[in-house]
Amino acid sequence: MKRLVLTLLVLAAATPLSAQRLNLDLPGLSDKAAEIVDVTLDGSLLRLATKFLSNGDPDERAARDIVQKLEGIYVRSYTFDREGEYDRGIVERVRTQLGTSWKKIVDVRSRGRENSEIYINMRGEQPVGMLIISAEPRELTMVNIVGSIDIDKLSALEGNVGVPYSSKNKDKDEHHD
Amino acid sequence: MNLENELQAALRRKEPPEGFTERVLVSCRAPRGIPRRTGFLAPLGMTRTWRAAVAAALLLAIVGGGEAVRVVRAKQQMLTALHITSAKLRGARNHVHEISTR
Repeated sequence: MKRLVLTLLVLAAATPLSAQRLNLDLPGLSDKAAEIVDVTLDGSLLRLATKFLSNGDPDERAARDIVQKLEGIYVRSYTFDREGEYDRGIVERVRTQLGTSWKKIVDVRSRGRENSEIYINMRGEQPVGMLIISAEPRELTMVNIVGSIDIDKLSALEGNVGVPYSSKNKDKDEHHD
Repeated sequence: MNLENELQAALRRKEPPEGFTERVLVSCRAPRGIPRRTGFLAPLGMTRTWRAAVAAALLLAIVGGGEAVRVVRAKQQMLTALHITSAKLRGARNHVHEISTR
C-alpha cells in the first residue's frame, strides 16, 4: 500500500512537467498561410543541437547557456498574404490549455497592430514554461518553451544567434527604442 | 568368397589411361577460374573482401551523413526558434515601454 501511495505521489509530481508542452497546431492555419515556420525541438534534439554550437563564438555560447536548461522549444509562425485572413480568436484554443500555474505577465493589445501575450508557468519561484502569442494583422506566432527559462537572457539574444537580424524587427526596434 | 573376389578386383592396381599424367599436370598449371562477381560493386572488378569493405564504408557514410543532416537541421531550427522568441519578447517589451511613456 505504501509503495502504491509513493508511486502515485511520484506520478503526480511528474505530471506537471510533461503537461507543460502545449498543442500549438491550430486547424486550418497551414492551408491559408503563405509562409510557415514550424519548429518542434524536444529535449533530445535540443541536447543534440547544443553539442554543435561553437565554443569560440560568444553568442552561440550564450545560446547554449539558455538552451541547456530547456526541455523543448515549439514554434508555429504563420504569415498571411492579406490582413484578416485568420481569425484572431483561434488562439483561444491554446489559451484554454493553460492550467492554474500559468500566469499572464504581458498583455498588449492595439487595434490594427500587434497583440502580444506572454504567459509563464511558475513552479514556486522558478519559471518552468513560457507561452508567447503574437497576433499581427498578417502574422500569427506562438512560441512554447518548456524548461527552466531565463527571460532576460532570451530577449538579449536578438540578432546574435547566427540568424540574420530581420529588417522588420530592426526597424521596429529603432522606432521604439 | 564372392566378396573377397570383388574386393581383390576393385583394389587391383590398374595402369592409368594414356595421357592421364599430362592432362593432370596441364590442369594444375592452368590459371584458376576468376571468382564470380555479383552485386552492385561487381563492375568495379574488386575481390569479395574489398567489395565488403567498400560497402561497409558506404553504409557508414550514409548513416553518418544522415545523422549530420539531422544535427545541422536541429541546430538551425534551434537558432530560428531562439531568434523568433527573443524578437517577440523584445517586441512586447518595446510595446509596453511605448505605452508607458505616452
